[in-house]
Amino acid sequence: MFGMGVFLDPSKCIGCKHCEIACAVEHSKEKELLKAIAEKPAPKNRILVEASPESIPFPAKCNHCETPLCVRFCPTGAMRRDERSGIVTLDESLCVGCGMCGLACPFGVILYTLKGEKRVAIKCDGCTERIEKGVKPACVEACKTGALMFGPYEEIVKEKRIEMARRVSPYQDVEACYIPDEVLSLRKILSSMSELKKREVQP
Amino acid sequence: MEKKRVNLTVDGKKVQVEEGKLLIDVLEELGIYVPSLCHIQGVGGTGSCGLCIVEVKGLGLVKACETMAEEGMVIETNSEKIRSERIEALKVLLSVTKHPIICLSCPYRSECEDPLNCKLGLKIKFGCKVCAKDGACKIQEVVEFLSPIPWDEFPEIEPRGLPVIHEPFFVRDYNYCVLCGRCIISCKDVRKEGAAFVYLELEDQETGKKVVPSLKEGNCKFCGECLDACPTGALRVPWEEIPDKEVKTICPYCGTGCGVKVGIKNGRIVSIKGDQDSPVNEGELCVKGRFGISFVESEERLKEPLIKVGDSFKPTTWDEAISEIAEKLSRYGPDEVGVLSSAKCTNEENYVIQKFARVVLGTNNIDHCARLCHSSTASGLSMSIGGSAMTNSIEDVLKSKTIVVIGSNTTENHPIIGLKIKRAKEMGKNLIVINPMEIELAKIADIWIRLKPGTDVALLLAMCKVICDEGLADEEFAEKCNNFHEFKSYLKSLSLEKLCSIAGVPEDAVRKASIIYATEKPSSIFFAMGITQHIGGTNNVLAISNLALLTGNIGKEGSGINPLRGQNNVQGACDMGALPDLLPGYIKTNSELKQDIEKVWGTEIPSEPGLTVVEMFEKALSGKIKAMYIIGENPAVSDPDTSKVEKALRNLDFLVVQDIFMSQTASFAKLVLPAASFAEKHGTFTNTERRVQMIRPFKDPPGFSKPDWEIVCDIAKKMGFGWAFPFKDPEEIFSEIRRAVPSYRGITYERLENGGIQWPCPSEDHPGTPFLFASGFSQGKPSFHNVPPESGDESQDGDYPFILTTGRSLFHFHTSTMTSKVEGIQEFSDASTLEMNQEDARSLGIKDGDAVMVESRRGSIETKVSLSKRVPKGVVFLTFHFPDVRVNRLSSSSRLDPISRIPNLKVIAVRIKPKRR
Repeated sequence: MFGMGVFLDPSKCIGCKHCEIACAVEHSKEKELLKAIAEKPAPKNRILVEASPESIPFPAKCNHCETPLCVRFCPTGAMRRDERSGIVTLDESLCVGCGMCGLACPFGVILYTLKGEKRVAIKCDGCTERIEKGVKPACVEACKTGALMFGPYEEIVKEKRIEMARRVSPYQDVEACYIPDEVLSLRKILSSMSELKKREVQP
Repeated sequence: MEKKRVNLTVDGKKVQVEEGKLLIDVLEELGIYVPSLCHIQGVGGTGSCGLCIVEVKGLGLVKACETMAEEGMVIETNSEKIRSERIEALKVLLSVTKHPIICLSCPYRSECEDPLNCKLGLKIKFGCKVCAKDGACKIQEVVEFLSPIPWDEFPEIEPRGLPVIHEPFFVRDYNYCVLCGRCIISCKDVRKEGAAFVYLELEDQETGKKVVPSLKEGNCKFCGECLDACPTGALRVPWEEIPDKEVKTICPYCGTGCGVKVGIKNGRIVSIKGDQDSPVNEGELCVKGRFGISFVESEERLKEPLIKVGDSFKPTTWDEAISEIAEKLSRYGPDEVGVLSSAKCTNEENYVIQKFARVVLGTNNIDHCARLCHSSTASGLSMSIGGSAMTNSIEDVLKSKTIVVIGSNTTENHPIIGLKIKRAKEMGKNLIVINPMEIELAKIADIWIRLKPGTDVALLLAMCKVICDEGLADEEFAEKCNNFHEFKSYLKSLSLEKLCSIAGVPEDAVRKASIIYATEKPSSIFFAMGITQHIGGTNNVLAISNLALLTGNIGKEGSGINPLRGQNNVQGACDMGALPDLLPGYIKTNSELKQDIEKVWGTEIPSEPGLTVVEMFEKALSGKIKAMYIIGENPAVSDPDTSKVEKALRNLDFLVVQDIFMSQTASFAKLVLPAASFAEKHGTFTNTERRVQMIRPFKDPPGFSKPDWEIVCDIAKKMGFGWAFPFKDPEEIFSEIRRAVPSYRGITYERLENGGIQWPCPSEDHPGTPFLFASGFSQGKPSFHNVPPESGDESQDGDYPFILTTGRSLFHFHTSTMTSKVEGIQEFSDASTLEMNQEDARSLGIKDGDAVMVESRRGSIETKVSLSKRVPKGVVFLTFHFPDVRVNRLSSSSRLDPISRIPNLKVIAVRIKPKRR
């Protein structure tokens, strides 16, 4: 079941890329914007805002899938899913930078970088350090529109239901009650994921 | 130890298998096909394809690659339920990995000939029919097995549309990748490299552009293991096809002697694979074996005999060429001719060539390139233990507890042996590397001792001293050797501190290494040119045998003194007596035993030892040697002080060069004879571990070229010695070898058909000898030698402050006459740069890529500098592959080892001047 996590509402994303900057800063050595800019190699963001040809933005980040394809296809066991927290983590010491996870990931959010002479994958680490301190993940903190939300799944979907209820309320413009295309495509992905889950061999 | 066996029931049949194996491996061994894309037999896999589902009673459906065989398992491998699950898994796999299915699902697949003229009327961009692996693809195999497959239930798959990445020898096309991970597993777990990466877009640090890095930048060794592992067309060699027949032969490059399977179709090489049955390489190859064999098909091969008229060569006929040679050679006396044989030729040919020199020309002036690589091993080891070959087998690497690698860059020069050392290290064996360069093995070694070049004796004596002082010597064994007590008191007289300071190494590292070597037994020593190519080469070898004898590390499995031979058949050429002082079977020319050979040959053999290769050129320079017959060697590039060699070659009255290419040496010849390469003749090679292996022809010789033995026999016949050379085929020569060389006596062509045999093999029922001296020493007691710690190597001084050391690179071989003809390998020619430490470069004001002049006391060459961390301060490194950077213009031919006459090629004092632009 979903635990605490970052959830997306693409319909709210305006493509400001604040989350990208916050993520890169969070993963810099100094964790300060002005100092991080000067760092070499430049700190990398793990969340990527991409826009469709129609200029509709989508904040792509690791969704810490329940049956992650990156874990399935990782040949060295570097990519793992922590059953307790539900976070898909990368063990850099095992990573050989082969690129399999990147090819397998349906969201395309695994990047690669050089760590010394070694090529390793980089991906969202769920900001576990921040969460332990009781702070929201960097991208969520940076998001001004509510496209990125953090919390227990139940609470977030409840928020969404309330939002929907507000939209369909007779006191609102009925035309606003629509399901955006991005949500549809996300749903498609999620349904293919659940199909995958079915494929797992049942003992 | 016998492994426990467990009982299984597979498809209703009761079987017994070894415990602790994966079900998929077990079923494969039983000959039951389990569809799988991601599992490598015996190695492992990612388990990502999910096709290997089988049903185990009690467990239900399980992946065979993740389940261990256990006692009493009842396994169903092929039922309707399993089939439908496999089809589901295939559906998921193909849709997730976006592997194109257009052709796979096409009903006309078997009859389709032209993908451009698609029967479905589609425009095929990706699919089986446009993929080079069509017919050899594992997915096709799985589909065939699972058919009929309900393709209409499959989702529409949009191929990835990624660009094809061109690498030097193969292409990477991720449109066909099914993310099985076999390439990565084979690279990481089989080859211990970890270079292969799938598809990476990296951001360029400077421009911010996305680039796809080449494997070349990822430290790829291009061994081709991943190509064999790839189940689809994602990794493929553009020229490879499915062969009509496969010929098993032996790789013609280094002394490892790997088995190669060459696939032939319409007279052309269409595939090259490692021979799984070969005990040497077990199916693995390095870049030279995998991609470097195509030189035999080069257009530059010599096709007809050439005669020099004026300054240019004119083609001539065999008859004319042979009568010319016979007539000219009979003019000269025995002391006026010299013959160079080749370690690239077969045993049979070397035998014929040395017999030709001794019987027809009546001279012992016969030598070959072993002079320049392991003659000091031969003299050193025969003085200490008697014998001049690897005492143990390559396989023993995995059996010893401690491995010492000294003066050998094994992973580059003997890649397959290097791989075994890496595997041994991973199995937890101790690895001690002694090398001034930071070679690949040094990075993984337990102890790496970075000594000054040319101070090996001091270091080895220091190790002996530590072992003696700590009381770790195997006294019982050492007492049985000559000179032990004298050696012990000699060690006492030396100071450890001084020895270590000569070698420039920290005392505690030497202490640690010695203690490991002496206590973690069996310990083996591997060495190569870094030991032998010194002015004190013989002393170096003696110091190594001291160390082995002191600890009793000899005559046991996993121990021994193991010289790694450089050429594919240098061991065989020495066995066959292509040496000035030794007859076939290492019989000294001036010993009593000579009579045995004389009896076989039916004629007398001159007893005075002949001239070595370096001496021959000196005598040629002074006009004493007037004619030379050089077979398959390129001394104008490979021999020391090449400007002198060139002068000597010019000075000859008559020079015949017999080669497969127009080499630099051949340009000085009066006559150039075209020889057949290893690809076009029968014969045997003897590899570094004394394994006699059979080579088989897989193509016809180009033009009028002929095997070397045939040419030599023809000349001998013309000169009236037909009675001594009545051979019709190599097998007849081999049967004479069997009579002349006792250690080959039990080896027959018939036995070799089923794999190589390690000599000594005295009788036909003898299985061969994997390690020597198991039951005592054949030539009397082994002895210790009190070797002086100073090497007498050329010293650097104010004028010549750098030490130049030479070596090979993985991608090239010797004078690159072979490798430079191979497309792809040419891309790695940047190895001709001078490797230099960054600090040295800074102090000279040299930047990476700058042109410099390298000057020694003998000559100078121009080259480019590449900065590297591999070489220590004060040392520079150059390869000797390339004719345009003739490093041997710098080396000396007058500073020879006094015993073996090996020239010093590893320590050359040089100065480096930046070239003005």
